[in-house]
Amino acid sequence: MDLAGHELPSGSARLEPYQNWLLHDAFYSPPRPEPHPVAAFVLANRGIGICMADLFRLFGSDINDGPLLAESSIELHCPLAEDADYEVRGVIESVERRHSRRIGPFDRITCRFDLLQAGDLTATVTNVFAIPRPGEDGTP
Amino acid sequence: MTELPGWKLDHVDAQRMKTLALLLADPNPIHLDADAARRLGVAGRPVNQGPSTMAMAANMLLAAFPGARLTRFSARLLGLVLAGDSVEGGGSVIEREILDGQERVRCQVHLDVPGRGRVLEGEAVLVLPASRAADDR
Repeated sequence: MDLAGHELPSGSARLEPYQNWLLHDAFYSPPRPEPHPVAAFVLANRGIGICMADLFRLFGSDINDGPLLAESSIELHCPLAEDADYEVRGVIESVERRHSRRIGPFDRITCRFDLLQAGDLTATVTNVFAIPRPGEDGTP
Repeated sequence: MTELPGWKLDHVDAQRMKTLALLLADPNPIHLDADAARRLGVAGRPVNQGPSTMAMAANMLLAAFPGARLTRFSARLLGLVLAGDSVEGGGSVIEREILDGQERVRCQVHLDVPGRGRVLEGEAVLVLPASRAADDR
């Protein structure tokens, strides 16, 4: 299956005030009403309409194999708010076969998530995952 | 180029990883269970989530520019941060500009785990509060 361009099911997320407090604390940040900027990542991750296990299954991987995030980019077009509803849309932007001395062949999979509040784009989160492809000839 | 003040977190807390796993809805066992991380050959201790390591760098930036708003942050995660680690950070301002009457700073940042090396490199843009921008002028 060619994953590039594949749209992920959209969903929604909301950061309740108590979750905002917990998230600041989990991020080593003094709790305050304004969400931490990296809360955009959390909202995207939780709000997209596919769970992480199924997302990695779509990648041909298994979340129990301990996949890791390689890169992430967060763009906040306006401040996030607690107690607000965000629509989350996502797309697999690209899949590139790479080769590493340490992990061998792997796919570099880039996913973009858009957070919208009342139809307006609030934040964009772009995550890059490195998915090992052991046994596949990935040498460029 | 202006160096950012040094930043340090003394202890990465496994309990916070568990809270974050719930908030992220992230079932990856390497963040929860040292035995799972060991069994997968990843590490002998729970592995800090990538967004938490990114948040550390964001905290460093927001401490360097009180009242600023972080509008853009890109990070490459280069190594693992493990429960019990300490983390040190630094960086520099690489550009300042006034856009639509607001002062923006572009910064390079990095985080290191002493003894294991660099774990994050990134770049960020912050919008400074109006009073701070006026003071700086």
